Amino acid sequence: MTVSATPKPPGPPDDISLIDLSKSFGGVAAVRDCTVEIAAGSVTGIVGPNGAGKSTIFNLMTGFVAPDTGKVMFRGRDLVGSSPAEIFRAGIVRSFQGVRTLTRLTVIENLLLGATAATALATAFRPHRNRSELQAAVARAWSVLAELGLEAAANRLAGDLSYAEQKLLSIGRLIMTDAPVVLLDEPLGGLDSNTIDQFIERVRDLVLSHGRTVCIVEHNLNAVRRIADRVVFMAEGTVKAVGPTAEIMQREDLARLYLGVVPEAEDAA
Amino acid sequence: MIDLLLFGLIWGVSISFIAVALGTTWRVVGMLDFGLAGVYAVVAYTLLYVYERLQWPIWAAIALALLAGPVLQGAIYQLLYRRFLEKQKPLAVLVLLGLAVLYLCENAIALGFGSAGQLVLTERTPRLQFVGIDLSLIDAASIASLCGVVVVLQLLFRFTGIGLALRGTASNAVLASVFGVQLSRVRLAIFAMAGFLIAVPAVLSSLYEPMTPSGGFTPLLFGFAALVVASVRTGMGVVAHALAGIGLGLITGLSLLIVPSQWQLAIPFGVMLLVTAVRKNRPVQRSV
Amino acid sequence: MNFYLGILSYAGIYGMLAMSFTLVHGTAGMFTIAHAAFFGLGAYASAMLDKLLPPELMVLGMAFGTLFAAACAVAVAAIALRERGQYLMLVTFSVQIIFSVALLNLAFTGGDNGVGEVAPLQLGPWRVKGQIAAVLVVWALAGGMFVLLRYVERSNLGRALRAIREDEYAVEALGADVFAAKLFAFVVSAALAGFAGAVFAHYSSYINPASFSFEAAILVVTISVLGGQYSLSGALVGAVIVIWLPQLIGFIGIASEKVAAVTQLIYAAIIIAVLFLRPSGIVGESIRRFPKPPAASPKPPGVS
Repeated sequence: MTVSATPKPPGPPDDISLIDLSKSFGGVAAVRDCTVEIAAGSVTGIVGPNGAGKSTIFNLMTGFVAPDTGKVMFRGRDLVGSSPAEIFRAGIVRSFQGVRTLTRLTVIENLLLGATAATALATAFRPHRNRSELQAAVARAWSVLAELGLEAAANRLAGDLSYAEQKLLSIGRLIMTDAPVVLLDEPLGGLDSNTIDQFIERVRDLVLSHGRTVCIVEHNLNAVRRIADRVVFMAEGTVKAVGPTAEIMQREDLARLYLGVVPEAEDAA
Repeated sequence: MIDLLLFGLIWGVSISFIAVALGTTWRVVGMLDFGLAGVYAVVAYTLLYVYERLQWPIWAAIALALLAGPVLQGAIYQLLYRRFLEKQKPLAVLVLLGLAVLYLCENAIALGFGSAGQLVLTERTPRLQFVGIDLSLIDAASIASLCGVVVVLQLLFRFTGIGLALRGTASNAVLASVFGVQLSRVRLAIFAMAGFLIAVPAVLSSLYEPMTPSGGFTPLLFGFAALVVASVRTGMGVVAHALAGIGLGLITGLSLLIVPSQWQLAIPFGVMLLVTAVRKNRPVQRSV
Repeated sequence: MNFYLGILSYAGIYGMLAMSFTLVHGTAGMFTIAHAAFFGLGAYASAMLDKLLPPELMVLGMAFGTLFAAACAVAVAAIALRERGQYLMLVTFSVQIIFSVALLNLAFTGGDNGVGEVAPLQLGPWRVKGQIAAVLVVWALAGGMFVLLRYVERSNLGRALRAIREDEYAVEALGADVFAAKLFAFVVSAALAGFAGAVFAHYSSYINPASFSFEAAILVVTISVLGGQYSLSGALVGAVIVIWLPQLIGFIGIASEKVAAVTQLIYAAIIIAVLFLRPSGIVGESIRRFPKPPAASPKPPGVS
């Protein structure tokens, strides 16, 4: 069962094009000449060793860091120079490494934020709209809670949840935003295998419901293989290879770059 | 005009000590310590008490007062600040604690000594002639001790183990503790050091100016202004804070040419606001 | 009796001031030490304007005081809100100091002597006479402010502000205009502080810089921390307790010249005790519960 507020309206294509993105921090090139096409409705995994520039790509795409050169084209617009809030309104939302739970708010309030934060100021002076938005968001939030198995904790402080539950909560927040493009930054970090399975289901739901576009930076290659259609392999700040998951995962040269060793034949996922 | 510059310079020296105390405390521990003004007052009144009431010789009194600073500030850390710092409490809490310490010191002194100004040395201090400029011994001592302190601190921070520990804690406390730095000891050290740094101007100024229980507050304000003007983001910033203090002192002194003295207090804060407003914020780049 | 009613009125006024601080600090997480300045801006602006207006139009003067404080807040915010945490505090700190210095030294504000003969409180044609009426009016106004701020707190904006208090960047990533939200909280809070100041001026009929000093700003913070920094009702509770304190101390026979020092000592002790034992204050942060809505009726077929 998937949850969303409205069906996806027809509109301009939701492909994202990263064109020649580069960023250096104090002389160290974090990302160099990155050019990638991300097709709408696909799940793209971004993999690579630590320091490859993967999270920087997300920061560049969402306006938290300004690139030195390059463009991020989405729906006919270059997003470079926009603030994170503007990029959110353009339709791209992201998660962060770790959890970034709002610990002094309740679990359900964390979810409500996903749906109401963007319009909070606009509805401050319109009590009717505030109330109707809130009601709709509460109803959706309870559905999401049910899906995530967090119903019992709905009105508890989010800071009281376990790490895994907080991770699920952060995915729930993204679901509540209804954004067409979701960027997940190492969502499986620190989770045990049971929770990982749950997560993979959630991510699949995110995509299958209304053809959202998902980009996921991950170290857990098994998970990437289970979810992603395509994989972008990065190392040392550049894109080394792009292609369908199965193809990229079998390439020995990339595995060597990543692991420093040729892997054994792996078990089926 | 030379008089004003000189006045500004000496005033600036006091501010520099306080700015370095505030600045290093802030860099290492992350706390803006209002309590230092209370320690300032306690040090000054210690000198007063020991010299006037107990009739100790002036040098012994000064030594004791200088010792009282680090001891008191260290004790305040151990008893009050420590557990809040260890639990990483928010800014408002730490600032309030410092203010509470300030109120405690000021009012305890007021109850014990009364609020009227008290003078330590009523005799004129000997004066020195230096390159045609007429300085009192105390003023010369101020300048010399600031230079000495800055040099010592720079050496301390660069070349000693404790200095390395302090710098490491300033840049990343968690990482420092992983590498074996004992945070509580480092913090105690920095608080004691700040206590000493604040004791110097407290002693120097109370020698020839009437001291009141709230006499530490105004110097502290100037110290804060210097802190912001120095805008230190990396490293310990000893020299930056000292120079900012001197600079603010000189500006304040010179401003007396155009502005009546009651406005004196507004000058450093005006400068501070100006610096804050004009300072460029780096666009969009934030560590997320 | 009148004397106690008078204290109750002051408690109401400081309660309003503390509630405005709760908005900017407890809800939005911005620690400012400028609230006595906004209090004073409202007080002086309305007191001085009302000397030029007929008594029936006093509300205009009070509105002016409120707006004047708000306008100053916008100017301060332009510098202050680019900073966070400690720097924000220092900027507001310097605003407070500059305000105090200006108040003492500018001729037209009366300097040390302040402004006297401020017209007593009058709402339109109705002149508030007597302590009982004053208490009722002050607390009615406080009640009104409470309702207003509670609405903001419970709105989507209030939730966004509380989230900003915890983690600005996460909220920005969810599409909120963080700067605008903080500006809103800061300016509204200053406006309400200015309003409280206007009420204060007309209630006291005499204002001088001592009431709007740095110590006054710390008093507001003390009230908020003691009563409950995250709670509006806590602000009122804190105000009642703190305003009564000097009277209590006078009661137990401390010599009058020592009362001020002893009072401040007790404030300091209160702050330390509260922070050690119950950091969120007497009234803790209230948790709003959202019950599960009843199951929706099944949709008719053919509708997606």
